[in-house]
Amino acid sequence: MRVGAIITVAAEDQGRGTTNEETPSQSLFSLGISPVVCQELLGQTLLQRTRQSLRESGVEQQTVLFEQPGSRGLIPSGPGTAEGFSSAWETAVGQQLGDGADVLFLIRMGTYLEIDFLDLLRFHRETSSGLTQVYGTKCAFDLGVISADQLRTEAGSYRRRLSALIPQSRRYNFSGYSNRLREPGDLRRLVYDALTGRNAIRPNGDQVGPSMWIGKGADVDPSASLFAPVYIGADTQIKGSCIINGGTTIERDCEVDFGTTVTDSCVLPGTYVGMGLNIVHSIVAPNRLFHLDRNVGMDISDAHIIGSRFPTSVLAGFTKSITKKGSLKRVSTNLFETLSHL
Amino acid sequence: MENPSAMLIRLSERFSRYEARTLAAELESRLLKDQPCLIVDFSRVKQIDSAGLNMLLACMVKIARHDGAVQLGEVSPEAAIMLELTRMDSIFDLFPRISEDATTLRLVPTQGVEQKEEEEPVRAEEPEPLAA
Repeated sequence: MRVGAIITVAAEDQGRGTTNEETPSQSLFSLGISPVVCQELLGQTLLQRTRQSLRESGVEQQTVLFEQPGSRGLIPSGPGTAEGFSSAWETAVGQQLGDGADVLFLIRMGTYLEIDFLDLLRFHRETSSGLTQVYGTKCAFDLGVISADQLRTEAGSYRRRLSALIPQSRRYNFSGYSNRLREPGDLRRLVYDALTGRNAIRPNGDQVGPSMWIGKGADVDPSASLFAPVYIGADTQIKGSCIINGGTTIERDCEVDFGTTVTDSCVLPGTYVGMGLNIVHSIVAPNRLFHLDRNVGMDISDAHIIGSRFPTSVLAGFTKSITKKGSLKRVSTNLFETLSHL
Repeated sequence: MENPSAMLIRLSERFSRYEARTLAAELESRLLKDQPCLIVDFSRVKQIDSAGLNMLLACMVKIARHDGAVQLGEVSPEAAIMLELTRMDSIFDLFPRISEDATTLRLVPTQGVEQKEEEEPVRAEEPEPLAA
């Protein structure tokens, strides 16, 4: 039996909170990390982890689509749905069916679910239903399985055929780990749960001690102190006298400058954290910080305090060329080529 | 606290290099008197950078030399985050409210900061204690 998957990465509208109480500054969009499933956390994105999990369940044929703002739900529908996305979705379903898929997983990635795809597939086959949808204790999740023959039989768009099946769909009750990933606090909870083994996410790095992981190429100064649980991402630099307290993740390509203390926080990839700072219970991105206790997000315009480790694309290319290629001639050529395009 | 020469600075939304430089120039001569007291209203501040923070520190050092004090009042959440982040919350006295108590507060007119219409000393009618 051939099993395929269509994964839709849910979009978050700019400036829109996901609940009525939420203001734009409290949404994950304010941190510049939308869509969140494409944000590297503990060395890998949630999209990569889900695709890996599908591959391990034998689902090799995967299509990833990026939703446009306005879409909602498992099937692209509603007045705000962009025409381009709907047609891309129809094409993807058609391709999967044309490639001989017998069963399709339809996954809309917004909420993070730790689901056993094999068990879901087994349930779908045993119940002989055309469509199985996953339900939590309170609501349905945007995850379902459909038998391909249900889509092949009738005329019209796949979207309509699928919508017609929803009233007869079977419920697969899911009670495992889930995280809605709507607010910065949700993101923080997901990461902390991973560090403390409460979910199945495993940090991408070498485990150097109990609940302590360090990615490849990370450089931690001997005078710096790390306290578990902690994760230091690949190619990140922790400078002298820094204190990285428990519950902290510092993703890849970051730099934490001399004497800074980071406690119970997430530092997202490519962030520069200045000297002598005290970061507590926050999510830090290049030029942005969200304070979880105060529930306030803010831009930080001063790159000496919090900025990007590689401030511009020119410098990024420059640094990468120096560190990886070691050719000054190539670096200068690249730099002039880039500058000439500006 | 009897302090007839307290100065109230009401900062605008952004307090960065330019605003800090302007304010520093304005305050230069005013901080040399005995026991100066500078009260900085942070209620509107949304963005503050290292130049702004440096200026505050420089003011504090100057004022301390004349046995004076710098107090930060009505600190907005954004400013509070920056002060905590840079550990400056442990250096300054922070107050949730600024009280126009029985003493005289003089709003210092500057270009880089928010100005109030009247520049004459303000005398509060109903004293309120400073909440620490």
